[in-house]
Amino acid sequence: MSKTITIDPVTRLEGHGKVTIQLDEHGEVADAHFHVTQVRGFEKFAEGRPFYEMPSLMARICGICPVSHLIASAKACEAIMSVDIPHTAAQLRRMLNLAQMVQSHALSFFYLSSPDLLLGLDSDPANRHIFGVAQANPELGRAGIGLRRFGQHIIELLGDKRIHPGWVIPGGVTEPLSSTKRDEILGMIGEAYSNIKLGLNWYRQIADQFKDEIEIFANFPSLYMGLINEDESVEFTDGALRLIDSRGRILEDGITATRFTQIIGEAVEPYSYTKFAYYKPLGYPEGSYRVGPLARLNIARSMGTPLADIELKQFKQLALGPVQSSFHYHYARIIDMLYGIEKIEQILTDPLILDKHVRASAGVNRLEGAGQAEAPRGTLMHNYKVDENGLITWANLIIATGQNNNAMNKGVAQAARHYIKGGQYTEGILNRVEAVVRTFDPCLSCSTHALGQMPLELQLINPAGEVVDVVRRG
Amino acid sequence: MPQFLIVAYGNTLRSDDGVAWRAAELLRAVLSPSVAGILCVHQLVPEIAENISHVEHAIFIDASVNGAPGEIASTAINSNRDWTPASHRLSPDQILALCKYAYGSAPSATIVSVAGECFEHGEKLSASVEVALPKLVDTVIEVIQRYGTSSVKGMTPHHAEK
Repeated sequence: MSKTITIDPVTRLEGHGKVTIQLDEHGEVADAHFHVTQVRGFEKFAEGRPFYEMPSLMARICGICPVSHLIASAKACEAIMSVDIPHTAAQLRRMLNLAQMVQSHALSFFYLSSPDLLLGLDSDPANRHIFGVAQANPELGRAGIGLRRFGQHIIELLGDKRIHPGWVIPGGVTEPLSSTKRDEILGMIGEAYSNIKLGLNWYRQIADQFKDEIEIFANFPSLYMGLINEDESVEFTDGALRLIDSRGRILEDGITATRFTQIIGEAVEPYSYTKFAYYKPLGYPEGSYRVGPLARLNIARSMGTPLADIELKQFKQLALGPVQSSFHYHYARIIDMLYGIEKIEQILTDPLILDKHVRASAGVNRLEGAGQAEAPRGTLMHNYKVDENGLITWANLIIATGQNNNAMNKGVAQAARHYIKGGQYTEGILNRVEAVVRTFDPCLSCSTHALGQMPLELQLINPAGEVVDVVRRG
Repeated sequence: MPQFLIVAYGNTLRSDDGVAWRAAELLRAVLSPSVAGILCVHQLVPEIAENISHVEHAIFIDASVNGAPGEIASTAINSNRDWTPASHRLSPDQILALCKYAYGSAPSATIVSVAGECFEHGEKLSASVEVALPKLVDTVIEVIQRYGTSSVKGMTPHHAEK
């Protein structure tokens, strides 16, 4: 008799999803899926709104990465306006986006994933959260808290609010940077370096304990995509996209936001509200690809900052070509944070960073525009159409989680097949299946996250749809 | 570094839930930053553990769903209560516990709350909570006087340093 195991909700994610594992009559895993069970209706209710409202409207999608939505949205609006924004505005946006990346990655790595890495995947679920981390390793807990504060405080200084700052607008930013704020941010850099180095050194020490998970956690060939500069260094805010294959060969380079809308398609599966992005020339699912920290480091030749470049060399030694195991998202995430701190310091020493020219203005000069940026968890694209009055007639967003959707599903199936034998499973095994999803740091509702254990119900269902066993926790 | 940190939390778009932010505005007018830092947040998050680790006493101001509308309550709390990890929110005693774990010790703390009447969408306080606002501010200042050093004890409500 076949059975279905359901993990609902998957814990320590940003948003709510569930996993179902279908067992065959021998208790072996026949298939597994990661379901996103929330509906996002932003594209529809944006219709009819003036295009210049879009950044602040779209930022409300997410409480963790609103800055990425602000920036991708503003860039789509600037395509409609046909304007280039001033250099200082671009640099300030870049700093804001990097600050958000640092705080979001600190949440993902230190708050949501480090409990598994520090306490063990089989440890008591009642302790697997930031409280348990702080209790077992106070230094590590303080480093995570410190890095999250670092990113959030920069966002607050620049945009007046930690969440949903309104500072980024079509054409640039509303206000220039003051010397007082610049100096305050510079004063925080030293502590941020200490914290990220502590996290990096700790991760280096414990990574070898997870050889089995590295083999099993979404470890398979795929395509990778991310933003990159002309010098092939990592970029989060401007630049263009590069898409490589599983052997590292470039499939597409210099992909602008407009080109993105032409080469990336979205497939629909009946079990999830999140679409499945794919590279059209290869079709679905062969054209599925991964984005986010792992992809960014796989496509780049350098980070563009000295300390992160040293780490990138170490990262590249993990494989002959692209690094395929999603477990290494953790390492890539730490390198991202190190890069972010270095880059913020570099930006603050730009001689034009206090320049007062931070905004360009124009009306509707095109009836369609697209903008792209790197959110912490991967590439984000906003595409809008407007009428002659600048009112939105159509909008589409392709978010990182949709671009990683196929890989997350394959990863869940890979882990389930490896760990579940003869229909037998433990809480630790279920946690490993969840941990595969956590490596991607998906943003499901883009607005919530769980600090610790959430209620989880696991059901065994027979082919007639009858529940034959239920396991609950929380 | 001030001796006190006032953490005013709540949602200003949910009527009486935003009362702590209003109280914080009034407290800023009467308290010197050298005596008490004031932090306004929508909800308690782990990073606040770091903020309170620097002070001797933390005061959490919140709206309560318990009690008659406008009723003020002042409750001393400590970091000894066992925490239960929640999904999306933290309580003041959980913040104290996290502070103790991560920073070695936690300050003493008080929750000063006022019972709300309306928590629907809106930016105005209900009449009963509006009336209670001065008393809420006085209660916070009384806590500061109770736990403060001699110079702070000399303050009187509405006639503090400023």
